[in-house]
Amino acid sequence: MSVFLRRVTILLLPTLLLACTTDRVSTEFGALNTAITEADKQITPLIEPKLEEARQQELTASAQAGDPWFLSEGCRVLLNDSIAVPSSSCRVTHIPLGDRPPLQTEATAIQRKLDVLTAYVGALELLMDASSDTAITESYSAALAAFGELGDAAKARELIDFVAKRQRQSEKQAVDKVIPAAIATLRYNRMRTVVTSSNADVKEVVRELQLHLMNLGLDKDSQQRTILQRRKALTAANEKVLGFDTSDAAGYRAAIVNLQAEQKAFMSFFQKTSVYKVGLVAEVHDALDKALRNPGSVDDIVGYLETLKSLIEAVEG
Amino acid sequence: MADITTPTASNQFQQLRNRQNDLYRKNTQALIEAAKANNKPLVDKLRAERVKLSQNDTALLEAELAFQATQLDQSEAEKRLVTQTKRANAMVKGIKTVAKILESAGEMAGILARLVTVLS
Repeated sequence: MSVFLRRVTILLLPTLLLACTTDRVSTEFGALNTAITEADKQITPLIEPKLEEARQQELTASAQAGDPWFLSEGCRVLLNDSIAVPSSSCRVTHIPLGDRPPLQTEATAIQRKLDVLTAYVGALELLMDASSDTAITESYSAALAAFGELGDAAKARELIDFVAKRQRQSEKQAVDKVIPAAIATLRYNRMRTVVTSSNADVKEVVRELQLHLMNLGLDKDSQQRTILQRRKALTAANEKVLGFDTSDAAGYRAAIVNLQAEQKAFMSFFQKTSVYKVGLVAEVHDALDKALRNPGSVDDIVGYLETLKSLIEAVEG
Repeated sequence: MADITTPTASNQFQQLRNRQNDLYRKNTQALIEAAKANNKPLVDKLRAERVKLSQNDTALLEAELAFQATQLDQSEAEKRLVTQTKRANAMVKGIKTVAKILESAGEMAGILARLVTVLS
């Protein structure tokens, strides 16, 4: 079913609100997950050289300070016990002497902020647990519809058939999984609390990320110009048109044509930048926040669809 | 619960940007009216005003970029997001506990069957 049809269905079937709201949010949540994954995919290779630089500087500073370095406890277990431990728990680690703060650069700040956002979205994912709940929610919506019509004997039969079918299905499993529909609602309510209370922070962290990314000038066009350089050119073209003496019609016209060309070039460049892609994380989160605050509002659905469109365009390039 | 209204530098810049947005909106509205009235001198005055607004945008962004370059420690927004993440993960654990309790209360099929009896 198309996203739009899905939403129309939600508007038309308020009796299925519980199940569909959860379902609707899992779609929106999927978009948030895509947004952060895409941003991360683009930013990570961009900052990697700067991160390596920071690691080398930190190593030099640490050696000069005489910090203790050693294999982590995980290595001891790995090397000395025959039990399986995750290889990631074995690291070369160090403790900074005294109050020497670890070296922080804009690149390390970017990575940390990305990690914070990724962990946050990961936590939301755990709250949603969409993969396991979707099928259950679908079954539950059928049951709910039946509940609404219980006066109808045929519907009651349908419900009993449904229950019988569920029983057959659950024979392979120890516990029938219809119960988690109630859990899905609980997850939904709690995710709603987390999302609505974090929206301002997500925006702020994303803004901070964008500023660091612009400062480092990592997004470059084919002529190696950064966002700030491109922005300067676009702004200059705009200011030139605004300040142009319109009595010189031919000159004014040329200035306008130049502005149009700069704007077009800027937008096609900007939509490919990491700054834009990380911005989509905040936008999609904002759409999710609005949907959770005011489920079913037409404006929000249109707004969400627009955000989704930008995201799809960004992902598909 | 973290207080998201705590003023931060990032919020301050956002407020300044909001003020700029207001000024732009007013300028656009005035331009529409002046253009409609064919008031050329006023239109030119408003165009010149818009150049200043644009220059202010640049000054504001440059200040924000320079400020952010000095803000390498965890920001307050980051800290709050970490707290929310921890809280969300704790909730997941809580939900799993609730799920166990519900599951031990009996199979859903049994509950549904009882409901049918009660309601019919």
